[in-house]
Amino acid sequence: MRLGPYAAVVSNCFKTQLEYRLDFLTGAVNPLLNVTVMWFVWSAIFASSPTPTLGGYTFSAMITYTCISVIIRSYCWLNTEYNVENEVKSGSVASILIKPLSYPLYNFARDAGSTLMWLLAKLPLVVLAFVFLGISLPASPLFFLSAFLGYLINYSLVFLTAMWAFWTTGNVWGLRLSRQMIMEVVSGAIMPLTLFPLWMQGIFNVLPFQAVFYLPLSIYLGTVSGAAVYGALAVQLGWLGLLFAITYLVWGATMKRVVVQGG
Amino acid sequence: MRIAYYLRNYAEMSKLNIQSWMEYRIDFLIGVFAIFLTNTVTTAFFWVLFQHIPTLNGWTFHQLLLMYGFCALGFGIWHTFLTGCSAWEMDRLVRQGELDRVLLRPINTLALLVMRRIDDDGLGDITAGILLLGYASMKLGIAWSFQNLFATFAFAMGSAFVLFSVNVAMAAVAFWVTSVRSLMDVFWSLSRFTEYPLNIYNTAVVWVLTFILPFGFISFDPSQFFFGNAQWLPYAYATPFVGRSCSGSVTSSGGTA
Repeated sequence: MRLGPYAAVVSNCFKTQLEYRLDFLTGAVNPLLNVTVMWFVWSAIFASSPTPTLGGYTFSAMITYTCISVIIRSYCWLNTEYNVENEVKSGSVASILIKPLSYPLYNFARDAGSTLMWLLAKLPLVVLAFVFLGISLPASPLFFLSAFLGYLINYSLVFLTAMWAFWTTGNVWGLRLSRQMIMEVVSGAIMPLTLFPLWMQGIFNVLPFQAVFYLPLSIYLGTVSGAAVYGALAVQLGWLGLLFAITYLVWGATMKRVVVQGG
Repeated sequence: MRIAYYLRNYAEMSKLNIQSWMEYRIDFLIGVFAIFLTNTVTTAFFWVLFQHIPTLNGWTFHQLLLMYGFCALGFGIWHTFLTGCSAWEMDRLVRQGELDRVLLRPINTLALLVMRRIDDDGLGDITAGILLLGYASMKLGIAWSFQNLFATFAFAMGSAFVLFSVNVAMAAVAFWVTSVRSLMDVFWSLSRFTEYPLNIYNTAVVWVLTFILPFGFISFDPSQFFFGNAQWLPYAYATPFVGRSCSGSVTSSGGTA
């Protein structure tokens, strides 16, 4: 497989995103606002708590958790679903499908470009969080590998959602928003899963969502350490393999029944 | 103003809107469900936290639910009835040149923009808001008297118009820059401040949320009416008027622009 064309797509999408200066600016301001709200909320919660730790987290660990979660959340808001929906509705998907490119990889490359830009927009937050909020450094460099695996797992879920457009030629945004909202809670994106009652943690641990947020964040904070880090990475690889296989099968079935209107 | 003329047009356009929801029934149901689900995130957050803490800065779980219920109801009314002139609509209208068509009609432009669109997705917020307010008031022992129901309605309308005004101001930026869609993200981020009680923030933030960007009037101030906290009561009574005066200033400046 030639990777050249995909690298070109990544760099083009990166540059396209930079074209919209206002988007870049708001992309930098939003995470700051989100962290500000959560800083006040967690301050009030820890002040009201009878114990100094919550779910095993001290206040400063919780702030680190929140900041890193907001930073890696840029990989949650991808455009694949909208791109696929628009291309299916307008029929322009046909002209992409006849190109000698893999459509799933092509979409992945487009979003990789814009994700890089969104990560760049998080730089002010990274600097401010280290300087003013005193958040800690990653406990293990394997966090970066784990976050990357989280991105890939998340992307598989995104691509599977986007397939809805091919099967119904309807809107994808409702399904997309539902997936995101369920994910916010059960992936540990808004708070560590250890805060949940035990029986709920049992359910969340067998879902793929925790492999997107909770495992990388646990490795960052060192709540998962030593040999357990490799265990967490193995869980992520397992989910990635399974979702990759499902995506492959669904994509094959989708291509058998693709209907192109207009164009 | 020819009220009857406006009402007749509004009824006609609403009928078409509702017919179009029925055309895409699955999209309608999934959309309403998705927006309903957005409200469960913060509710779940509160529920999980209250497994560990007795009160949050003096507020009980059910009091927070009541505040959040106002938030959901206000957003729902705004989302359903007042987003015809939102930043994301204006972005599209200006860029695709569709606004020219609207400007030609013999009717107030802002009124027409608002009337032409009833967004079914907002029904998810309204449902969540009513359920939350109903459940919380039951648990808090607040009577469903005529006076309380009327106050709830007035507060919700006030909140909806606060949101409307801030959003129309953002929409106006579409005339100067090519894309204001990302401003909507700022709007959503700012609205997160209203999901939590105002007294967890420091004075500067509370001041901004009361006098500059009056988001405090969406959830926190109205609920004080039901808690009977003398300290915040004047702000509660001010809610409907803040909504009215905000939208008044936005519409009049829109007329001269």
